[in-house]
Amino acid sequence: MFRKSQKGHISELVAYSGFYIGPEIEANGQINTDEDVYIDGKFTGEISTEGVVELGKNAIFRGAIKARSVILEGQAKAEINATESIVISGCGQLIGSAVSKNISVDSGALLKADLTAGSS
Amino acid sequence: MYLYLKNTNTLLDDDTTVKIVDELTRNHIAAEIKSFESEAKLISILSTISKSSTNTLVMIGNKQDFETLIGQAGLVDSGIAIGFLDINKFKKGPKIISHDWQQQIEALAHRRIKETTVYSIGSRYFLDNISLTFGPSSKPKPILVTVDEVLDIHLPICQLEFQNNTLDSFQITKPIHLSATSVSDNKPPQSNDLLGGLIRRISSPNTNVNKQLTSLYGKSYLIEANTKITDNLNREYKNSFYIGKTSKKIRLVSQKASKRDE
Repeated sequence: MFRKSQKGHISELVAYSGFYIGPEIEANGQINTDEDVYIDGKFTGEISTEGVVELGKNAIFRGAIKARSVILEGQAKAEINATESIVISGCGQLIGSAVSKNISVDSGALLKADLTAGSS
Repeated sequence: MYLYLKNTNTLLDDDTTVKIVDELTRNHIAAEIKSFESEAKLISILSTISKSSTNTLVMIGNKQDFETLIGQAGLVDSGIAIGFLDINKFKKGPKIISHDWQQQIEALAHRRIKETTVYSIGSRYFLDNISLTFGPSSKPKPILVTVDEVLDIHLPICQLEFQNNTLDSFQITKPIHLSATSVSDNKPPQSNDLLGGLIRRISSPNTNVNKQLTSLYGKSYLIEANTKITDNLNREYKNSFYIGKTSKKIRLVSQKASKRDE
């Protein structure tokens, strides 16, 4: 649904037609979908998708994520499980755990998490 | 067996009315036109219609009139087909008459039926989309939307638009798209300050663009807000109501004329 930027990010798009929780919006509960999910607000709960989950710079996430790929730019206290990749950007903060085939962490990211990378 | 409805508040001049009646007569589907001036009066008319006397109910008016009729589809017997003569297709300008209107009437006469599922909003129904606006509130996030009973979204005063995505095969399990957008409070420049207003508009970024707050898919939505809630047809709602998929089907008469050999 989302038209991604060259870096693969969902953010900074003109209009969102997939799952999107914007800045200053609070949500709690479950999202189960096949679509990409972009959270840039406050979310507490679980996200499960076949697509990409992006937590934007304004995101404050508490809970669990199961997805194909996860891009973290905001704050997350979470258990993240991605089949393909997890990217934690320089402004990202993760407390919890991250499990994926590929995990990349940019300089400046704040981590207090168990990271498990590689195919088992 | 046809019955026509017309909203007296929708402008339909005598010339156009005569043209419509003539064309209906030419297609052998001329019948009584019942007028209503409010939703309450429409409800009263619909509650008296039975399928033994009417098999096709046609709204002559604009899209809003048709949506008002669909809103009360629960009162229309499932055996009665619903049609629409869009008067905006009768006139494209003050004097230019579109040719579509004759085709519309031909399509009505052909009575090609398509069964369609409608979606509920409170005690009403809608077909394609509906939007809600909310009155002022002192609370920062007075709107609570619960999606499929598993996801709560707390929203500020905004506009909610619900779109029926049944035709999108990817969204069969979550057929209703919700988009929330911020409500612009920018006022146009005062008339005595036109130049100043223009300069401000040119020199400052366009803040009139309503920002999207959220975008979701679901099968049912519970809307709760302690403010005045109205839809795009200016109909009011209770402080708590559901929007969702229903099993209610209506029989719509296609607006496109069938081919003669069909």
